[in-house]
Amino acid sequence: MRRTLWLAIPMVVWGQAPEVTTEVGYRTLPATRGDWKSYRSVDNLAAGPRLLSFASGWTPAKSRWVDALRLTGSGWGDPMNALHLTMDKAGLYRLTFSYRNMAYFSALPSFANPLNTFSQRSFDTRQRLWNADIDLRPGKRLQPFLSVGRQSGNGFGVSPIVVDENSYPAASVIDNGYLQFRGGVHYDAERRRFTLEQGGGRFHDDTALRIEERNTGNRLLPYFGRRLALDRATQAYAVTGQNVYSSAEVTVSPWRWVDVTGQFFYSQPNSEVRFSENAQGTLLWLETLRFVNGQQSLVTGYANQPRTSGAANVEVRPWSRVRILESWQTVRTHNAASVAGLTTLDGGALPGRSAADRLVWNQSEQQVQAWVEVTKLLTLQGGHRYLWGDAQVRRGTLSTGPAQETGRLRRHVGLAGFVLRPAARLTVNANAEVGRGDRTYFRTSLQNYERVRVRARYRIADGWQASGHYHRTANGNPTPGVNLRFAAQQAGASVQWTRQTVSVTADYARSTLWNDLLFFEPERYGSLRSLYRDNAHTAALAATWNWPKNRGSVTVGGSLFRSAGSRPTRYYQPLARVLVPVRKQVLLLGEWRQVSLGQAFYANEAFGVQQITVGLRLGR
Amino acid sequence: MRAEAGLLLLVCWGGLLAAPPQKKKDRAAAGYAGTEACVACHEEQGKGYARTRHGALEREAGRGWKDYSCEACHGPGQRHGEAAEAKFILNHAKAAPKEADASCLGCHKNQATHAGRVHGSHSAGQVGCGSCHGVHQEKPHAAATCGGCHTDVVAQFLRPHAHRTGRGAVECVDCHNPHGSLERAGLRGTARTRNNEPGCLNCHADKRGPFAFEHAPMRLEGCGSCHEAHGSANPRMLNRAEVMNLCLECHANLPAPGNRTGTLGSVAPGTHDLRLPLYRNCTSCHTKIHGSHVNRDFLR
Repeated sequence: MRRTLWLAIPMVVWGQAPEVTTEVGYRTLPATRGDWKSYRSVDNLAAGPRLLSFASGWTPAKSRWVDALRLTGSGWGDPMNALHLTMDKAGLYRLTFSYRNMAYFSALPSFANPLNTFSQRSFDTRQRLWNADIDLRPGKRLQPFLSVGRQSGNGFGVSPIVVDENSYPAASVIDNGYLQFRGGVHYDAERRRFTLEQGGGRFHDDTALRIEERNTGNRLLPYFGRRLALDRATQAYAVTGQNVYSSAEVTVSPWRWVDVTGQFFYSQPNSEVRFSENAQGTLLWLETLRFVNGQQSLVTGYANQPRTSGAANVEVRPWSRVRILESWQTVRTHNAASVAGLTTLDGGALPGRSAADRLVWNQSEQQVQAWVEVTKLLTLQGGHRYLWGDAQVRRGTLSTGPAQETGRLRRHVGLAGFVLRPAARLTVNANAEVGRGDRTYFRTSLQNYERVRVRARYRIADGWQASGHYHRTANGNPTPGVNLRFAAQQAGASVQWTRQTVSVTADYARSTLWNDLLFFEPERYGSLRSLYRDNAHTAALAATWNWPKNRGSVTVGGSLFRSAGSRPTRYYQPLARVLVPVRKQVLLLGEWRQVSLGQAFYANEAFGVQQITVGLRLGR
Repeated sequence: MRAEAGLLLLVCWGGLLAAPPQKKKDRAAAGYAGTEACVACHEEQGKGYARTRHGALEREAGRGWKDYSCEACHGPGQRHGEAAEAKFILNHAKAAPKEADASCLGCHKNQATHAGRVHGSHSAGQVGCGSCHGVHQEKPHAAATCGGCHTDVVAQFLRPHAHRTGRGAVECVDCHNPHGSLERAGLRGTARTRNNEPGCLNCHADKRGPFAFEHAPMRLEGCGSCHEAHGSANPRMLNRAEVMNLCLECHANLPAPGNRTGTLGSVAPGTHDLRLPLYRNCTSCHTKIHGSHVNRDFLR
């Protein structure tokens, strides 16, 4: 009786029966071949009972506290699952809550040591994120808001302990988390709007590595006749930190034809670290080329990184067909750190050491852009962007000269584009950028580049649409000693055909990437050429036949990816899915999916797995 | 003259702030037909709309559109109803984006997510609100909504090593703000979060720092300088097939006074024999490549 009453309470409160749809099922993997770790790194769906998805919504006819409530979830039992809740009452509040739990797994072989068959950089962790946001008085002039959320990651893995001239894979325990909170207020008026926000967070990142038996590491050759090895080792990393930030955003429209927007952001994250390492074995102390049997290190450090960013923009619409946007942005980052450490070799302490480091980065960007609606069918746009900045970083270990190196950025970019609607059903959108620079931060950065993007969409008839796209980016850096040449392009087409009983979606894309750059080979003091090619075909198809009156469906399709070049790869995911009506509001669900990967140069990573899921869909 | 200008300003200002007629007879006179008349023909849209957030316009008298909520967006519909002709009503799906958006932004312009709207590529490309948002039936914030246009990006997600969108846990809007940002994504390669950080760090918190020894590309050009965030054939979603190429393409400036190429990135020492697998896999020793708290060469 009590139970019946409990179930009845929501009905009384909501006044309307909730709508609930649920999919439950059981997945089996009847046929698997190849590398299981590779499969887990790529897809990771395993066998077992699953709550595949659920969605429920309530829209009470009359309620003082709730206008609408929606709860959705997916993948419970699978490596990635999620829960989302939205609830609101007009003028009173809007609440959103989300929870996500993701398996973060990677264990593909590493090739630092061909004799090791396991990955040296693997992890089997869980990333959990939850976030709750509440906006009060939505739609009103003054709207306070609050938010709290947490991200955490923990699990196990393998990561190398590096001691001079060798690295030794070790078991690791990973635990990190970040708790963040923020609050503020929006002020919303017809022509003025501002947001003030204050927030912050605390984080920790703890990693522990351990080796308990003799480990000869990745170095296969002896060093001055002796084989380097670790007999026992532990390494503990404990990082804690916090971040406080303030932000302000403002939008003002003094006249109907002018919008002025601005943003200011200041944050000051810092971190504190305690590091300890204890290694015993046949080790090398490189500074004195001396072999030692035991080495202990204790390090503490502190880093502080104030960042300021700002933007100011003015949009002017002097005539109904003309829009001009002038914007300016800047980012200023200053990282200052100090580290102090003590090292002990075979029981004898070396003199304590300390170091300081800093990174300074200032970058700004100014852009003016204009749109002109030439006719109702054609809008042209054009503009100019200028980027400039400088960065000071510590010089390389082998470099001579001052302790800091400076990199600079200076680039002018011309912008052009159009939106063309030659017919009511056809839209062509194109834009191009041509950038020319004489300073850039890195050898592979954009310097002298051209970028073109064209996208067209044609609605052939109601429910029938075709679209196509073409992108090309070419970049070059002719500076002697760099000589970068890069080109990437992609062209594709897509068709969507939707009818009451049949729907078909088909996509195809052809992409090519070509990168050519000389780099320095340290051992022979010469140059090597880095050539990277990636020529890929990608296709996807989903064809669905729906039973009349939404009583069930059959879907076949899947996707394929084939690439040639520097890393030839084949990746197929065919699938078939059927929903068969069993009785009112109950459908039988069946799904077959195959996931297979093949790599020409890394044949050991290949796998093929078939997944069969059988279940029920319950609800409206 | 000044008085006339003042009067004109007052009239304009007043016109802007004018609310729709509140009384039924006034509405009828202004050409409004009423929700009942709309739903008599557009039954499916009416049912779907009632379930959305916009349905509050119909339910809540205080919002000023009760019994006329369809016309809050579509404009007065009396003439359309009488003539049964599409040209007498605003159809957002067929109208030019500018006209359609003006209708939406009448209420939604001043929302937090829209603060940078004018800078977004959607705005620049005249992509209307209705391209992503369903008014009669809310569309989910799912990859499928974005993928309808961004077919090129969909193709990247079909590579073997990709963020697993479409499974409910990771969606496009976790990293991108489709309304645009006051700060263009191009400035740092990745959209920023409210913490003044790249959006990637929302999940990859252990890469957050600040580190005592920063790896400059991560701050200066963002995660995209080494990683293909949408998808890659490389297990670490790297921009190159091998780690060695990715690192050495930048670390190729010879140690010499002054900076001959003007770029950052010094060479590896001569003891690094690239014929040996140990040295071809840089991150097997430089384990803290995103930044280290204790070692300037990212070894621990």
